[in-house]
Amino acid sequence: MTQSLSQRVVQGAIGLVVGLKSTLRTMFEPKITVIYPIQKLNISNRWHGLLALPIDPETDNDKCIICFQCERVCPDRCIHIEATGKGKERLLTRFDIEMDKCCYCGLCVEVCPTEAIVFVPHYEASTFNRANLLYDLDDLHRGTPKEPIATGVVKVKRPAPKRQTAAPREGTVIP
Amino acid sequence: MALRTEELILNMGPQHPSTHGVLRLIVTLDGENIVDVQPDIGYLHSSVEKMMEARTYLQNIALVDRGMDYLSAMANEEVWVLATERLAKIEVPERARYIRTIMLELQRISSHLIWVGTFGIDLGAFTAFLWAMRERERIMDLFESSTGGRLHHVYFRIGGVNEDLPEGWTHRCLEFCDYFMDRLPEYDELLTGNPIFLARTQGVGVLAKERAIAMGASGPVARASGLDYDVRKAHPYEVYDRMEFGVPVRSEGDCFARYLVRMEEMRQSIRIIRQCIEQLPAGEIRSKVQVALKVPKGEVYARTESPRGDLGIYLVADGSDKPYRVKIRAPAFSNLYALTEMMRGWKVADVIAILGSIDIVLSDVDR
Amino acid sequence: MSWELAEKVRARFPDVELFPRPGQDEPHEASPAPVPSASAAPSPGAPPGEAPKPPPRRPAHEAPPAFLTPGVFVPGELLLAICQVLAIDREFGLHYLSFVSAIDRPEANQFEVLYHLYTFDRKDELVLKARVPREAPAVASVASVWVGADWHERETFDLFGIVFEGHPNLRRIMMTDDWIGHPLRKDYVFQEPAWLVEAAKQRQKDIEGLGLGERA
Ligand code: SF4
Ligand code: SF4
Repeated sequence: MTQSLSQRVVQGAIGLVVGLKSTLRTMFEPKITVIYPIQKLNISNRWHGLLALPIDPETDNDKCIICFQCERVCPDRCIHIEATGKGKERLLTRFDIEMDKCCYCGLCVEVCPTEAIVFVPHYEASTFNRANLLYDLDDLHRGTPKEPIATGVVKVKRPAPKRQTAAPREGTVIP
Repeated sequence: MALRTEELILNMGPQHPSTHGVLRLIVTLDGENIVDVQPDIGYLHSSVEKMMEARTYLQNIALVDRGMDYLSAMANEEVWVLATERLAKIEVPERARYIRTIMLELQRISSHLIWVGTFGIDLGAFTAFLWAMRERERIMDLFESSTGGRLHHVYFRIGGVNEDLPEGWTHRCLEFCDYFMDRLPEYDELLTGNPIFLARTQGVGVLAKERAIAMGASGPVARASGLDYDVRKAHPYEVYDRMEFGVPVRSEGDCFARYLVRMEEMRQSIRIIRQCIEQLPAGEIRSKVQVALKVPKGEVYARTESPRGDLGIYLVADGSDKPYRVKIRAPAFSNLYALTEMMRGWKVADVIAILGSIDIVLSDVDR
Repeated sequence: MSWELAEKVRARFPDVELFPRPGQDEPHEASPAPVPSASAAPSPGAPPGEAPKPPPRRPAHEAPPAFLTPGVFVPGELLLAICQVLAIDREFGLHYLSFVSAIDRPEANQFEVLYHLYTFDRKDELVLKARVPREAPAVASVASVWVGADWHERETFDLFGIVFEGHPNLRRIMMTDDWIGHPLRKDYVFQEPAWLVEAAKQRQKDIEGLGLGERA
C-alpha cells in the first residue's frame, strides 16, 4: 500500500460527500412518486392489459364471427371457443380465456378480422382465487377485472389529485 | 511451524440476493482467498429450444421474449426474426428497419441501466440503482406507448414491426436522449470518480484477452479485455452499416473496464438513436407475410449484438410452419464460463463484484 | 459470409465434404437487404404506396435445403485432428468457438454434432458438422482445443446424450443429475417424476380441505 490509512479514509470520505451532493440536489427536485392504489398513472392506449370482447352498440352483441383464428394463433393455447348452429344462426356458446396462462402477447388481437377481441387498459387482475382468472363470455363482455383487489383492499377515499403527477401521455385516460 | 489450514467450501445460492437470479456458486476458499469457483446452473432451465419446435414462427416471437434474456426482450425478437427472414428471404421495409434499430438501442440502454443499478447495489451504492430505475422508467414509457408492453413487447414481426410509431413518439424519444445525456455525468460523479467504487473494481477480476477468446466470452466482457469485436460493426444487420458510432474497447480487462465500456456504449447508443430518427424514412412498416408462414428447408446462423454479447440463433427449417431445430447461442452462458478464471486468487468479498460485472441474466444462461 | 474458408478447409483436408449449395447462383446477402435502388433512400414523406412489393416466394416444400451459413461435414474420427489445425494454423485462425450443439435426425438414424467457429482476423465463420450414429453416439471432445467448449459439450451431452470422449468433466449441466432421458431428442417423452406427481396430489388434497380452488 502506497497510501497511508488516514489518506485512504480521507479519500473515501470525499467520495462519499461527492456522492451525497447529487443526492442532496435530487432531494429538492419535485417528487415523481405515485401513491399507487390512490393515484394512478395514465397508461398508453396500446397497453396490453386485460382482454375483452366489447359490445357493439349497433348490434348489441360482440363482433365475433367465430372464425377460430385467435384460438389457433394463441401461443399458450389459452383461448377456448365453442359454437353451435350454421350460417346466420351461428351462436357463440363458449368463449373462455384463461388469463393466468395468457402472456399478453397480442397475437389474438392482431389476427382477429373484425376487431372483436381487444385489449382494455386494465391491469388489476390479481385475485385470491386462481379459478377467478378464467374469464368467460360475460366477463369478457364486461371488460373489467373480476375482483379489483387493489382498490378493494385499501379502504381509503380517493382524494382529488392535487397536481398532475406525471406528464399525461397520449391515449386513453382511465376514469 | 506453519499453521495447518484447511480449505473451506462455501455454497452461495441458488437463493442469494446478489447472484442476480437462481445461480449457485460453489466457492472453495483458503482463508479469505478464492481457490476455485464452480458455477452450478440449470435452475431456470425451461428448454426453450424444445418448446420452439412445437410453435409456429409467429408464435415463437412471443416465446423468445420471455424464454430468453428477459431484460432485453427485443434483442431476442430481433435475432429470431432475422434468422427467419434470411431463410425465408423476406424483405423488411426500410422504415421498419430503422424502427427496429431505434428499439434495439433503447433496449441496450435500459438493459445497461439495470446493470449499472444492480452493480451499484452489489458494491453498496444504493443510490445508483434508484437513479438508473428512474431513467429506465422513461424508456419503459417509450416502449409502452409504441409496443404496448413494458418488458415483453412482442413488437417485431417477421417482415417488419407490429405497429407504426405513435404520433409524437420520435419527438419524445429525442427529448429522452437530451435528458439522458444530461443525467449521465451524474453517474460519473456518483460512481466513476468514487474512490470506494474504484477500490472495489479497479484491477479486480482481470480476464486476459487470449483467455477471453478461448473461453468464448463476447460483448462488453470481451471488449473490456481488449477484443475489438462488435457484431454491429463486423456483420451489420438492420441499418447499423449506415450509422456512425464507436465501439469502446479497453485493455485492462478488470471490473472497472467493464463498467466503463458499458457506460460508453450507452452514449454511443444515444448517438445511433439520434441518427436513426434523423434519417427515419416514411413508408410501410411491414411486408405481407402469412400468419402460418412456411419457411423453406435450410439452415442459417443469424447473429446480433445483444446487450450481453454475441447472441445467435442457428435455425434449421424443414419446410413446415414450425422450426425443426433452434439452437440459441446465449452470450451470458459463455461469459459465465469465464467467471472461474476471473475469480481465482481474489478475496471472498470480490465474488459479488466480479459476478456483478459480467452482467448475467439467468434465463439467458439456462434458457 | 463467403464460402472461401470452407473451400480452403476442403482443399486442406480431402476427407471433409462441403455443405450442398443448391442456391449457389442466387446471391444471399449477409443482411436481409431490400432491393437497393428502389428503397435505399426513399425520401421522407414519400407516399406509402410506392414501397417495393416483396418478391413472390417459391413454395416452401420440395426445394432442396439451402445452407446459408458456410460449413463442412467432418468425419467424426478426424474431428479433433482437424480442429487442432483450424484453431492454431494462421491460414484459418479460427480461434473462437461460438457454440457446440447437435441436431437430431431420426430418419437418418444419426445426430449431427454442430460446431460454430469464428475468426477475428478475416471476420468469417465456419460450421463444422460431424455425423454420429444414434445408437451409442460419441465424438472426441474439443475442450483441449477451445477451453470454452467445456460447458457447451456438457450441455449437448445433457440434452442429446452425445458422449464427448476425453472431456474433463462430462456431467449433466441443465437437468438434475438423476434425470432420465435427453430432452432435445425428437423421441423424448416427458414424464412427470413420481415424487412430483405425489406432491401435486397431496397439495390438491390440502387445497380441497381449505375450500379454496372452487370458483367463486
Ligand atoms: S394475448 Fe396472446 S396469450 Fe393471451 S389470449 Fe391472446 S394470443 Fe393468447
Ligand atoms: S379471431 Fe376474432 S372473430 Fe375470430 S373467433 Fe377470435 S374473436 Fe372471434
